[in-house]
Amino acid sequence: MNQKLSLSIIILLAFLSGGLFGCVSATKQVDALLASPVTDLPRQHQIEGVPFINQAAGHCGPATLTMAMNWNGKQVTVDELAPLVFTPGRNGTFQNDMISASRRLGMFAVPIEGIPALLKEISKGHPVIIFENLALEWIPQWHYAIVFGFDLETQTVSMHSGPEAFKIWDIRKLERSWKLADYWGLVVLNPGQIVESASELAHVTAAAGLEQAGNPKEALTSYRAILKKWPSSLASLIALANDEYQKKNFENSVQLLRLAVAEHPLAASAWHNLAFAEDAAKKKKEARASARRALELSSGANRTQFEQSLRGFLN
Amino acid sequence: MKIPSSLKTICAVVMALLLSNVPHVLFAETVKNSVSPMIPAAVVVEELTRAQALANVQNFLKKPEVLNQLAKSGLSEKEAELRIASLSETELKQLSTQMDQARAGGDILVAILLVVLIIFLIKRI
Repeated sequence: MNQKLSLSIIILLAFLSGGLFGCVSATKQVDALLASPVTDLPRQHQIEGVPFINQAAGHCGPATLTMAMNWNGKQVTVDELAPLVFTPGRNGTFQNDMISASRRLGMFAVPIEGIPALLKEISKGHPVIIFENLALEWIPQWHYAIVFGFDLETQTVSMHSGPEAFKIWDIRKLERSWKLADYWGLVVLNPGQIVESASELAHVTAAAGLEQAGNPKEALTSYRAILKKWPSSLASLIALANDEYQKKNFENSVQLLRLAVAEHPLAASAWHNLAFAEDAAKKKKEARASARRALELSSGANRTQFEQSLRGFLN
Repeated sequence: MKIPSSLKTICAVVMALLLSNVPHVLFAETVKNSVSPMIPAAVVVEELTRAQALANVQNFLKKPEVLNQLAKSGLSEKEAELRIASLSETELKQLSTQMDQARAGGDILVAILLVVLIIFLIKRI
């Protein structure tokens, strides 16, 4: 009798948990990774020396960002960072503000996404700030933590999270809470470095962000590094060519832009800038040809603007 | 008192220059030079981002599951593409990001429903 009762309770519980978590696993990425390990990923890796900084309530955003920056050798304190990222009315930090604050301070910040990218970055020695939801989907408790180690044998990650320094956490628990925040992660590095698991577009976006935040030197350093990794990067070639133009090294500017149009023959902006660089380098005939090509390739909103700016070449 | 003719010539040239519009042209040139005519790299990055988002959404539309859903809702692939093309910069980026996130979470179905829903909402409001 007693045994029957306990058996039915167990069955009931099994049904309930099945209902709560769904029939499908909530940790797909970890499952996939453990089922078929990625060959170029080590089984475990720990990044040494990520400083731990204790935080005031709700200040996990500024605290994790400070840890990431200090680890890069950037001297900044939580109190200095907080006004740049913290939104008092919401007692928290928006993800976009984490990115913009990094760029304002001259750091190269690139978002990443998903468990494979997270582990890859850690294995390359880059700590990752993650945004997670520690509660439920409909009553979220948002939180930032910084992850700097993993071990696929014990299926754990190591991180600084809130008041807990060097916390060792079940990697599946991490995936569950991270998934509820759309797997948003952020790698913050010194300019001139590459975030292995991010695209070229993510890199040039970060570089352009530095430029727009008033850090042109850091932006150029980033563009140069991007060009080493992606030699035909259009935005990087244009950025460096613009810099040469500004320094009045018109020949260099022409060379970079000619490389750009050779790699991207349909890029109207590259042809547009090439026309001005060639003109400044006293190559009038080539400049006219480039201007005509730019105009042919321009479309929509660009067209009127190009007609205006290029009109000097078209007579 | 006799003024040397060479001095006279110099004076005449200086006066002529002052009266002519040469200084204005020079001034205008320096102003023009200080504003670079080059398109900034940040603008190029914006263009690339839009192109990428557009390609992302369009590729997704080519998937049989998505086409199926669209057909069930009575929408042709062509009409869907036209609606996508008329999205503003921000809407397109949002759609692309949400799609990626839904897929990263492994919820391909959520991504499909999202796209279908958004395509339907456009031009209905």
